[in-house]
Order: sequence, then structure tokens, then C-alpha cells
Amino acid sequence: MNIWISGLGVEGPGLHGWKQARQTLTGKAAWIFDEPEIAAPRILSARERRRCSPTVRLALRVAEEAVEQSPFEVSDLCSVFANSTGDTHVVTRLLNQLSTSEKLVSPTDFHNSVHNAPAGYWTIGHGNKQPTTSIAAGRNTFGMGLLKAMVQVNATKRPCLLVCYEHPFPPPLDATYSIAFPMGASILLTPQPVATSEAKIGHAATDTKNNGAKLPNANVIQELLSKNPAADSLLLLECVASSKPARTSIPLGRNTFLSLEVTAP
Amino acid sequence: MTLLSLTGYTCASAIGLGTKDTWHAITNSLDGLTHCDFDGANLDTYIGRVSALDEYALSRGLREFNCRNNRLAALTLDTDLFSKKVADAVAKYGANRIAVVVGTTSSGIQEAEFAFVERADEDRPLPKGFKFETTQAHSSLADFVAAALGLVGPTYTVSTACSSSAKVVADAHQLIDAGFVDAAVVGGVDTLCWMSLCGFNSLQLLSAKPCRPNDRDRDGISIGEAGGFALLEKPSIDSQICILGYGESSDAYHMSSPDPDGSGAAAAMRAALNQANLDPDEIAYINLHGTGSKANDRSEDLAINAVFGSGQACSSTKGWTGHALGAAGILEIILTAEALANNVKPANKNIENIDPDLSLSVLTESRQMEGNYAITNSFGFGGNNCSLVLGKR
Repeated sequence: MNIWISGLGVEGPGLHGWKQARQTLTGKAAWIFDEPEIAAPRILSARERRRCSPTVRLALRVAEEAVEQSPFEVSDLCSVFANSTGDTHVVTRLLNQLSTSEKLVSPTDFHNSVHNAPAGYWTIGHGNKQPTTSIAAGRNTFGMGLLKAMVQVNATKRPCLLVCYEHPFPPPLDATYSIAFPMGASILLTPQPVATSEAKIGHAATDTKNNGAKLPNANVIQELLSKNPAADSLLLLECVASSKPARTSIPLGRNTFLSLEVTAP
Repeated sequence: MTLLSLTGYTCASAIGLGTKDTWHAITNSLDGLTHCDFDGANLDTYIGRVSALDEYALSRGLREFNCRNNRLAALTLDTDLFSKKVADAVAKYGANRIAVVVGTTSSGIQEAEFAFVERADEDRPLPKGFKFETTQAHSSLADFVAAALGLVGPTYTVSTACSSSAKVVADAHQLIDAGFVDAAVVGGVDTLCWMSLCGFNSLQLLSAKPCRPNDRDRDGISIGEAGGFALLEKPSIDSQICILGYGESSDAYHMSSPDPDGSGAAAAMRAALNQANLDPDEIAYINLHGTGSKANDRSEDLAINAVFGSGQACSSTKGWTGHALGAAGILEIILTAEALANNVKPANKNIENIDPDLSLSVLTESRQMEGNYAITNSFGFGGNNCSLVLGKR
């Protein structure tokens, strides 16, 4: 199975867009830890822009970047949204409403509480009627999302946009699951090389060992990896940024990795 | 073309534990829905409740996953010898060659509901016993199923609201097709909780009577908890029931209302038929999403009329089970499989007057099925649609 990486988006501490992140990940620019400030997505209506949660903002921001240069109509793209927690800002509001004896909840909060709300806003905003899914796999959510998107491209021979996004929890749930900062990454996967392709993924297999090459700029990545599940995306993005053939291993579970060979397109 | 063999399945809902009980209840028109007596939810609505759950506890090694949703998962895995069938598949393929892909909307959020009530005021931390990752998190269900069955292949949860546990079939096919695994345990579980009951109440979508899909006077849904699992394998000649096609689409219309013209739902059915290489007139029966809301049943009718023309034999089985939300997909895959295996098109419960505006041929009584192919529809919030074509050898 060969799959091409044909668009990228990223937002995280010191990583603001793929162009800048590429420089930082290859050590050509200094990495400065600062949290992203993310504007409301332009595809939403004015009313939705005002109300949309930080999670939806983050997801749509990175999704938009990966398709900016895309040779495909955005409305024709399938998508996989990967997130380990759901929208905990909305869910926390609902849980507070449900802890009262009246249990009166906001209908808008309720429909925004579904895990696939960002996917819903993405398809509505772009008039996109293609298949979209939303998955969760705890700390392994990026790896499982990548695996799902790759096998989907392989089976359908159609491009697929992978969007992975994780936002810190508001209190009191923040004490129960640690996400230190907002981070998201998005990858447009295509079944053939296209004008915007930046890398090819081949020899994909699951493995019980971590076969990843030593990362030249591992300090940035190591700093982020354990603090946000979406940071696992950097294991792949770093290979793309380096423009050299490399093998990487993305965690899928305890002693399970998705082993990939990343080469020039 | 056969995509996958359905080599084992099991379900639990308000009308029965196990496939045999469930099918017996449907073909003998037993009742599953009761007036809402769910602690803390004082609502004038009907619910489908799995009463066996009240007495059920997780085995010692799995206690960290303890929540209503995982208890129903365990109870479901324990019926129909399903765990034994998976153990046989492990012996055949290896524990790392079987994926777990399961659907849920609210997972174990009930634990968080209790934790928020327990703390004295909004500034206090949650009680120490509350564990997010193994209960409330969506991945808790997939992790629990993998742990309970001893599986170590790719494991994740799909959460696309009420289409969740239908879409898992696509995941199973794609993972097997790419050679990452040889089989997959798919399914879904959703359980009663304040979030679902009060949330749907806030949208004014709950009926005060047992839901009446496709009835002229239908006025909303009844929520019912359910669990269901299926073992899907590479096509084999031993298996009677198969998956022939899946079709997925988005409405791109609204977060919680279906596109009134049904075009997204129609696209999902066309894609599933196309993959199955079948003509619409080869489909003997459609198990409808059929929630009993005014909007859903009307738009689904338009969608089916656009693909199949008028008079297509259909029923919604939600009058028995209630709407199992993220578990509705798998529950209705299993009922559609049973319909094919038993040559019976199940009736649509609770109909007094078929809505005269619908073009479907709604089955008010169970009928003999002639034909080998059926479709089941699942649609969810966010405009997320999935149709599956099942066939019988």
C-alpha cells in the first residue's frame, strides 16, 4: 500500500502552520513555546463563529490549512476526525446543568456535545456530502486515525483528509486527563501523487517494536509527545519536514506501533 | 461481491438478552418499552431498559472499566456464546490479527454525571474515584471490549452519533482489505443516562407514548439502551449471512435535523447498492432508521422513494427496542441478519394509521421474506449517514 501526503496543517506550541513548523522541526528556526491563538473558522456562519468552542476552532483551523493548496474541491473530500475526548467544554457545561435537580440542558449544547460535531461543522461549512467519520482511541488516537484514513484511501482509492485535534479540559475534568496545551494536525492523504504531494508513505505494518529512526530534532518533539495525544503527529511530520527517507513508528497501543517508511513523493 | 462474512453475533436490549429472545419478542409482538422510571430523570416518556443490568457486575480484573455502558457491553458479550466464538477466532488468527471497532455516543458519561452531583459545589474537585479514561472517554468501550476478549489488534471507538455502530462495518472491511487484520469484532453500546434523556428532551424530540415510527400521529422517539456485537471475517463459504456493501454520506445540512429532501440518505443507499452490485428491485426488505420523529421518517421516506420508487417493503424495529442511539446500527444489523436467516420481514410496531404522506410499504405485520438481500439504514446528528447491504447465501 502506497499513500501520498498531499497537504498538511498544524497548530501547537511554537508550531503555527506547516510552513513555519517545517523550519522548526528541521532545526532551521528556533522553537519558542507559545500557545496558539486560533481565530474562528471562516466557513461557519457569523452566529456559529461567535459561539463555536475552542475544540471546533482548533479542528477546523488545521483542517483548512491542509486543503488550502489542494488540487481537489474541498466539498469532494472524505474525512476522518480523530480526537480522544470529545468537546469537553460543551460536555462540562452539560454536566453542570445535569448536576442540578431540574436537569434543564441547552439544546444547542446537547447537539454540539456529539463527538462528531467538528466533522458536522466541516461538512456543513463546505457543503461536503462525502463520508466522514469520528474516532477516539485515548492516547493512541492519532495513530488509529492515521491507520483508519490510510486503509480507507487504500480501499476506496479516494483522497481522505485526516484531522487530529486535542484541547485541554476546563475544570474540574482537567484534573482527570492531562492535555497540557491545544494541538492539532491535519494530513491530506491521496491514493496517487498530485501536484501538492510532499511525501510517500509505504511499507506500512503493525509492529511490536518501535523502529523509528532517531529524530534529528527530537527535543521539540519529546517535549510535546506525552502532553497531548495529537503530538504523535509530529513523529510523521518530522519525517516529511526532513525530506530524507526515514522510518517512523507511531504508537497504536501498549507494545504496538504503526511502522511506516516515509520517502520523497 | 461478498465483502465480509458475519460469523457470529449477539445483542441485548429491552426486549431480550441474546438474539433468540430478541427475535422471539419481535415476531411475537412482545413489549419492550416502559414508562420512564430512570433515577433522577423525571420525564414523561417511554424508555427501553435492560433490567438485567441492575444485578450485573464486572469481573474483578475489569473493574477499572466499571460504568453502566461497559456493564452492558460485558452482559452482551456473555450471551449467545459470543466470547467463545471470538476465542475460536483468536485460536485461528491470533489476538493481534483481530481488530476491535465499536460505536457509542455517550460511553460511560453516567460516571461523570454522578461525579458532578457528588461534589459539594462547583469549585470543588471531582471525587477521587472518578476515572475519565476508563469510563467517560469514548475509547473506554473499545478498550474494555479488547480487554474482556483478550484482543490486541487495532482498537478504537467510532462516535458519529446514531450511525456509529453501522459505520464500524466499513472500518472492519478496510482494515481487513489492507491486510492489517483477518477479522474484526464490531458493535456498539449505548446506555440510559441523563445526558441522552434530558438532551433529547431539550430538543423536544421525546414522545410521551411508546414511539410510533411511520404512524400518522407519531410525535417523537423513545430512547432505549442496547448492546450488540458481531464477528466479521474475510469471506468464507461456511457463513450464511454476509456484508455485501456499505454506503456512507453526509447531509451537509444541519447538526441535529436531517436534510428534509433525504438526498444524503439516498446517496448512502445508492453507494451501498453500488458496492454490492445490486439493483434496487433486488432488495427484499429495508430496516429503517425510523426513529418516530416527524422529520426523520418523512425524509427517510423521500430518500427511499428516490432510490427504490414507492411500495418498498420496510419496517422500523425501534417500536420494540427504542432508539439505541450509538448502538442502533449494530442492533439493526443483527435484526436484519435474523430477518434474512429466518425469511421473515419483521413488522413495524405501534402503528394505528400509516402516515398517508409516506410512499413506503410499511409492514404492520411480520411477513414471509422472498429474496436474499436487505438493507439497514442508520443516520446520525451532524448529518452522518450509513447504509449497509446484507445478503444470504
